[in-house]
Parts: sequence; C-alpha cells; structure tokens
Amino acid sequence: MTDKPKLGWVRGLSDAVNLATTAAASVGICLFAGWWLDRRFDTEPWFIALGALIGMATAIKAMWDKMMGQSKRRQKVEKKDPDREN
Amino acid sequence: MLFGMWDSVFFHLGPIPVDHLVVTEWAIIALVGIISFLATRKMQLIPTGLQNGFEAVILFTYDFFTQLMDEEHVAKKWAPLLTSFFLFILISNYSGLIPGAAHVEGFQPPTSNWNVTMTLAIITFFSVHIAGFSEHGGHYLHHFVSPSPLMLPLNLVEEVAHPLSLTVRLFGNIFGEEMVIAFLLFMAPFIIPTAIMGLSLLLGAIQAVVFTLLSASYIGAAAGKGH
Repeated sequence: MTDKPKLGWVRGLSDAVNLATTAAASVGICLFAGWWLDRRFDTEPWFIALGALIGMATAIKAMWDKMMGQSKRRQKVEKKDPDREN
Repeated sequence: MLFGMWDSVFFHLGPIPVDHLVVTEWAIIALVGIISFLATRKMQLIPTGLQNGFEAVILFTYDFFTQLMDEEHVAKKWAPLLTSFFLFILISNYSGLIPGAAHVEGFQPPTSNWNVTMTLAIITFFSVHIAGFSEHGGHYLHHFVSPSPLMLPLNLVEEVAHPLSLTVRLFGNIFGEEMVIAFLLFMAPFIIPTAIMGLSLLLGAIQAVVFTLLSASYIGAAAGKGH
C-alpha cells in the first residue's frame, strides 16, 4: 500500500472539491454573520461588508494553503524519486 | 402528499418521540449490520462469496484512504468510520429510489433531511480534531494561529466552513433531487421520472463519495505532518 503514488487523481479531486466548498461556505458564513449583526445593532452595511471581506480572505487563504501543501508534497515526491513524472 | 412533508411521530420510545426518518435510519443500519455479519460470520483463510467481496472492499478503501491521507496508520485508524459513512450515505441516498418512496410515509431518504446530514458533519468535525490531537497532542492547537496569530479568525471560519459545506451539499443535492422526482411523478407519472431516477443512481453514489472523500481529506490534513 505504501508504494502507491501519492499525488493521484484521488487527491486532486479531493483538493478541488474541498477548495470549492470551503471557499463558498466561508463567504456564506461570514455574509450571514454580518447580516445578522447588522440587523442586531442596526449598523447596515458595515458588518456585512466586513463579513464579505473576511469570507473572501478565508477563501484566498484556503487556496493559498492548498497550493503550498501541493507544492510541498510535489517536492517531497521529487526528492524521493527524481525521475518520476506527476 | 409530496415528499419532504412527513414529520409525524411514528411511535414513542418512553418519553422520546420516534419519527419515520429515524426508523428508516435504523433499517439502513440494520441492513448494513446484517450484511457485514453474514460476510464475516465464518471467516476463512481463502475467502469465498461475501467475505471475498468484503475483503476486496476493505482493501480498496485502505488503499484509497492511504493515498488521500499520506499516513498509512492514520488511514487504517479512520477507514472503518469513513467506510461506514460511505455505506450509510449511499444506501440512504438510494432508499429514495424504492418504488413509491416519494409518496409513501416513512420512505424518504434520511440524507434529504438536514438534521441527518448535520449529524454526520458534526461527527466528522469532532473526528478531525480527535485525529489532530491524537497525532500531535497539544501542539495541534498551534495550527489555529498558523502562520501568524492574526490568522486566527480566518482559521476559525475555515473550521466552521467544513461541517457546514458537508451538511448543505449532501442535504441540498438529495433533497433537491427527491423534490424533482416527486414533482415529475405528479406531472407525468412513470416515463420522465424514470430517467431522473436513473440519474439519481449516479448522483447518490457521487454524493456519498464526495462526503467520504472530504471527511478523509479533513482528517488527513489534521493528522498530517503539515501541522
């Protein structure tokens, strides 16, 4: 089991779905929280704008983390087996 | 009555009301349990029949989760939970395809109710953090303030986003699909819904795979060496 390639379609599919859903859910949660806070404190549109910013920042951070993780894994595999094509 | 409208109590277990959805879940759990029992009742060194099929499934899932999680011992530890998720969700999704399911009380797929999908997502949420703490101990908490303490709010939002996305995607897909089938059954019985039901076979499997895949990915990330 350990000899199997680790950068296969499974990980690619998982990363793609993970990133898409995490980005959408982050923006959704922050927008909802902002909307709720605006209604609660009558501060429209400040909290919803802040929520949108935090949500988008979280989505970008998730994307950045995935890219860095992918890059690290690729370097690890290449170090182990320099001739391998991914 | 259209699908999704049942929320009546089936019977009471002492003071606890038990609705149709819970009974359907019990039936699915019993079905998986009985098949597993039959497959492992008389284990042989050279497997035949059901045992053979189950061993193939177990080997495939170990291999699949090892590729996904990087660490073989983590994959072995969490594969039983993840495989159970897959089987439960798959059979739940397919339970809506039983003839008349959209019209018969108590036959709705449990995964078309957000309480069920939320419960599964909460189990994943806690599993992720248990996996993180069991692999890294107290050092696991460091990832919440990584790469800088300023990132704490973003990391917390990301942690909450995971179970929410799992919940909404599974519930939305299965509920929407069941609503379409129920509506088409009402509008044009037998012919058009059959095609959609064929598509449901594919969608049900895809949703079960995606939920399991993402749960494995979250657990693998928490337990991985990146933390």
